[in-house]
Amino acid sequence: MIKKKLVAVCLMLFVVLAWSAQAEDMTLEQVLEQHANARGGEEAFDAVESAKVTAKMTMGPGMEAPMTLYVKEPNKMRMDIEIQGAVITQAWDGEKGWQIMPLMGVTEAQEMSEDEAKQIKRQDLIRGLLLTYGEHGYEAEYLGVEEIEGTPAHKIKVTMEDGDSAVSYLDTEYFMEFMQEIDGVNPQTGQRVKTKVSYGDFKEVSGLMMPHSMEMMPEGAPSGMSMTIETIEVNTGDVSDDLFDMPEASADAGSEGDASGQG
Amino acid sequence: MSVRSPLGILIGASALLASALIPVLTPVPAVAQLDSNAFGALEARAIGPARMSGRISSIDAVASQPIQVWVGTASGGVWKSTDGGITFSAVFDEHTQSAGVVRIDPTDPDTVWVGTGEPWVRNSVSYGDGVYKTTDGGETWQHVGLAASERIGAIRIHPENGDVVWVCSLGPLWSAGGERGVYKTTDGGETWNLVLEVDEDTGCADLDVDPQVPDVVYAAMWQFRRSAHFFTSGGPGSGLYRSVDGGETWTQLADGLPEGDLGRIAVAVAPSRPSTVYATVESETTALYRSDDMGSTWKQMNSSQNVQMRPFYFSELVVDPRDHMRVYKPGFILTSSIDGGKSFSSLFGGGFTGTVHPDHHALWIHPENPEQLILGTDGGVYVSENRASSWRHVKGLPVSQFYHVAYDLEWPYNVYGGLQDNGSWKGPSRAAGGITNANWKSIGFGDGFWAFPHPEDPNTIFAEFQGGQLLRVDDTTGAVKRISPAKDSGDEKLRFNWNTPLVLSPNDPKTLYVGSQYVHRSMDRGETWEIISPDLTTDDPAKQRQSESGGITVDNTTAENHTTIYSIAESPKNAELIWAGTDDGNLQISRDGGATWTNVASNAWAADPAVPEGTWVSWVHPSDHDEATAFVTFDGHWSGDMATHVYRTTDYGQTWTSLGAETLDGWAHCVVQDSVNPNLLFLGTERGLYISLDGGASWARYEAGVPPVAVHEIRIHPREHDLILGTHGRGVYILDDITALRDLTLEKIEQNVVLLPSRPAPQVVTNQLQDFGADDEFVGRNPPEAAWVTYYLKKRHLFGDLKLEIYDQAGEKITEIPGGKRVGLNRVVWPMRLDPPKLPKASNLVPAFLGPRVPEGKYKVKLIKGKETLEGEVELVPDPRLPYPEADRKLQQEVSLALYHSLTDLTFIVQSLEHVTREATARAESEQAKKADQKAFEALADKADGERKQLVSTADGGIFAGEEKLREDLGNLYAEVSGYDGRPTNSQLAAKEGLLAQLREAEGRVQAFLDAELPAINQKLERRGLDPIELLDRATWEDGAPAGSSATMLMTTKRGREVMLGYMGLFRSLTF
Repeated sequence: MIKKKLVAVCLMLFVVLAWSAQAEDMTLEQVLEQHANARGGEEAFDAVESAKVTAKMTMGPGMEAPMTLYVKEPNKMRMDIEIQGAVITQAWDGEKGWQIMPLMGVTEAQEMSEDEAKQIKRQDLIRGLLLTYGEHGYEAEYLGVEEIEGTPAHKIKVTMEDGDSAVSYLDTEYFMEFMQEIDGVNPQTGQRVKTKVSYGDFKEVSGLMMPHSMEMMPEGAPSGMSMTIETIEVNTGDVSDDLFDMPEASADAGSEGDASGQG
Repeated sequence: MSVRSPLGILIGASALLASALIPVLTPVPAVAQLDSNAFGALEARAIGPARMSGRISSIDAVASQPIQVWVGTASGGVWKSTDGGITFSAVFDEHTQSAGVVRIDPTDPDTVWVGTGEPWVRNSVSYGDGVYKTTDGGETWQHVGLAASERIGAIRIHPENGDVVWVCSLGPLWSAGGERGVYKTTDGGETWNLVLEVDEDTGCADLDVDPQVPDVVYAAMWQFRRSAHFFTSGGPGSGLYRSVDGGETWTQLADGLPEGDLGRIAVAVAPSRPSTVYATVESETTALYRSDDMGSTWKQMNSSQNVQMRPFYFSELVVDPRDHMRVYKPGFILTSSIDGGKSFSSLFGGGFTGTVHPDHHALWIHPENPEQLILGTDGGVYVSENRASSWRHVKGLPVSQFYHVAYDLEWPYNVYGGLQDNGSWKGPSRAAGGITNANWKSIGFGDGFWAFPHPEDPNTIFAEFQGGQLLRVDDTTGAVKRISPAKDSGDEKLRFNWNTPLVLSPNDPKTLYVGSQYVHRSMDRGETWEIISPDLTTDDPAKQRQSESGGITVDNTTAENHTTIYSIAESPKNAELIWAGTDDGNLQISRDGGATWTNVASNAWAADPAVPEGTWVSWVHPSDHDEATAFVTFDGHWSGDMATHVYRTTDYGQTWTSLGAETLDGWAHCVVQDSVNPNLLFLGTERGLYISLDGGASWARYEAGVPPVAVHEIRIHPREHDLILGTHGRGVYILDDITALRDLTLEKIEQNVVLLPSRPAPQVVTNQLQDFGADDEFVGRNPPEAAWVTYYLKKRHLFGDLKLEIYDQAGEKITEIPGGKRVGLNRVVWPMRLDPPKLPKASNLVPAFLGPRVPEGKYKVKLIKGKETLEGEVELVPDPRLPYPEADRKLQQEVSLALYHSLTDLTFIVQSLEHVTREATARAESEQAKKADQKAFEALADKADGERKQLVSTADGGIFAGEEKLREDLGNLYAEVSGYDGRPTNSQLAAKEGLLAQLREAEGRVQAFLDAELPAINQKLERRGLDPIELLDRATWEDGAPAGSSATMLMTTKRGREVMLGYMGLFRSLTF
């Protein structure tokens, strides 16, 4: 028994040494390599052609809305949020952003302004900013290991071309990105807004570790929003290209509204 | 405490690894230790008040458009506004809250220096721990030195080179030595040189730099010292100095200044003509002096009352940035001179009758628009746009300085307390829309201390002001009866502390105690007082010299009253057992209702030689569990000992155990043992709240939402189980429901996941009444209108599900809620409602945002973490203010539910019609549809759409078209009925019957129409080789149909849209 304990203690000692060496000497490249591997590796990422994500957004006690997100290679994305039967859509077709905001009286698709579009311009939701910042010409900086909410984490800051930034925290054990602090400009007011995003409930989907829970908390807000991801379907083939195309304006905008109505 | 074997931990760890990924091992501590992370997300909420705000010690601003304002407070941290002073946010919450001096680098507005430790050294002043610097506008701070300075008088930054900084350090107030004098850095704070030093009792009180020739520096040196019973301003060390080589060498300035010992000096260079320098000099005749030759010679200009008053406390002087003859003297009131200091006049009534709080310590003048002033007072910040003609109070700074806090048993309960220089106040623990300044009500005046309602008559409030002036206040009318014991008891004068103990018996609500040198007891609301002790103090005449206190200028405000009783407590277990602690170190116990007393202080000193004889007894807390057990704190800071001294006795004070620990910081104000779990202790120190789970053997600071602010009193609400903190600098905090903490142990924090109990959750009525606000006011958060489930995680949850499932008594799953994942305690809220109602798409909105409330009662909770499932329970209870008969509650629940389900039925009908329209249109557009059939398909589509239009609003114009069809009628009625927990009206009941009949009729009509038309259509389709149109299947539809949505509530408000669009804007940074 005593011998066993001794072995265990030695093992622990070894582990501690290994860990401290690891954590302190790592470079940005090493951390990101571990991160990519931990999430499933390049091959698994490369295999993703399209994805459909269904989720439930909770915006406060009892305030929920279902959301569907579509992404497709090389660079398309679309998000539908359903509210009292009406669907809010925001999409990036690869070149421009468009949206339908029925609750604000906009029942037909409208092209987004550059500022608005920049916010939804499809980055790489599957790989994430950390593994694609270079492709977008962003800068990344490794800021060492820091304890955040009681968890030691590798800290990496990505700065985008317009000065917006996202600081990511990767746990030192599994290299999963469990938190981001996003610092961006509200396009409507021009003021900086900081938001903390927590990721959790990582599960394997098509060989990739994907978070199934996200919590977003704007700085200073009493409560935030959470998103519970119900399904992530990869390469099912039913994510067609025209989902991402901006619908033509037409007199019969389907059943969105009644053209004959006299308001 | 059970210690898991390291092997076990390894096995556990490797099992975890096997279940997940590759990874690198992390060290696992062998023994669990309580640290601040254990409290995780169990956050206290600040409820203000900001109405009267608190003492401001320093203000600086950037003259941008809008101006950026930085406020350094006496004991509530540093606050920043980037919108011209409309909103402020705390930017220094990880550090000492005594901010002292804030100074913005003139070469870079994002670089700001904070010298901690307030320079206005009144009896209740806090302390700092050096100089901090931010280079990113307050996001992050670096400690750059002078840790032993304790307090900073001024900071000046070179106008062209931000690396050159002079720090004017006062040094320790209650002891000699430390880092005091003028320090200079030329490398942005990397290294410091002490460039002007006088002696170990003298520090630097003020400093200014010539803006045109920054090598010319003026420094005011001050000899000062405070003890528990005396204050001394002035001595041979004091003097005004000048350097002409950037601070390397100094010359004392004396020509024209008074001879003999000087006191505190303020010095200010006129920015528009720096050869003119002003100084207020405390001496036998305190006066304003002016020099027009860079300090070489001085002339006395003015010795009016506001210039002379309380120099140790009011020593600020500001020269107009454009007019060297205009000088402002913030003091008891704000006065100014326009003739170079010859004459001063008041800028407003000020004093007790003015509109602005008296006692001014900081003034900022806009350099380009000198009509704009920002004034810092003992009651917060004021802004004037017209050179002090009128003022606006900043309503968003909750830096109120409580001495004590109490509660009542109303629902919601109120908190009570007295504040430094801001009277006594009462405010609710929750209020509609949040706790605003308007919710707070004044219940006293002067400096406030103990304040609480009569437990059997909440309209009667006991309060006091400084020096034992007791008040009995009628809450309704505001009538005040003065009820202090008579000043003279025989020949002897009664000695009352600044902060006189006024306490209630926990056994008999009629018994009130107050302490002078005696314990007084009243059984008739303060009408008569009986002395029930001998003089319990040392009665040392050497410590009774408050009438001489002050040094050069006598300052006798009762703040130095000494040899008094400071803490009194009757045992909840035994009304005959009374403790009394004195400010001069006696700790007395009576076990016979005051007939005899024994001083047991020396037994406590014996337990810890670090506590010297005579150390102030700041708190006595008799145990709720055992009458022989009590907890005591001693406060040694009055002689420079900042350590935390806390003790426990289990034998009526015969022997004591020190509960001090290295993790504690700040002198001790109070200690409380939980009324349920005797091992759960709460300790308030000058640097925050500490919690122990093991009876005081180990402590961790509670950091969740509470900065390291001085915690002067801690109360536990007996009904709500809330922890209520009275802080001296950040108002009142409430940690809702400590039931989970009571259940937490050091053993449990070693487990991976622990589900903890919660108090019953009231279904609080949702207040829908209209009341628009704005952003310029602090609003205290309410507890969420929800039940909560609390659990502990040893490590952050990463892989697999972490969620809660709620089940009703029948075992039916009601909802699923995502769980918090962080280390320590997580608290997840359940709004006690079903999912939002399903609604068909339409052009109008109905206010049916929230699902109906579930009935009160017990619900099962499953906490699912990966493969592990823990089971618990939550109990829902009605709003205690709404005693609706059970039959009415049942009826309301039934009707709400019926309408809720009817909306689902309607949604199914409408979506069935939409489905038919869509399918028929698709067939009509297909190649195979011949012309004739195409028409038939189109006709079907049109007819189905026509049916739909009869059921839901479709008019353009959305909510403003006001069209109401069955959907709108049902939705509105649902909203009305579900929004009121009592009986629906007879009209509503009748309307429900009518609408449900309409719904059944519509159902029948649609069914009949489809039955009649579909078979023929499907035959045609078959003939054309097209798929028949199949109707939606209800069961399949229910599985796939999304829940309705209440996000509408957000989308219909501007702020809501911004919030939601803000979230959408995050998408470019997110990872799925």
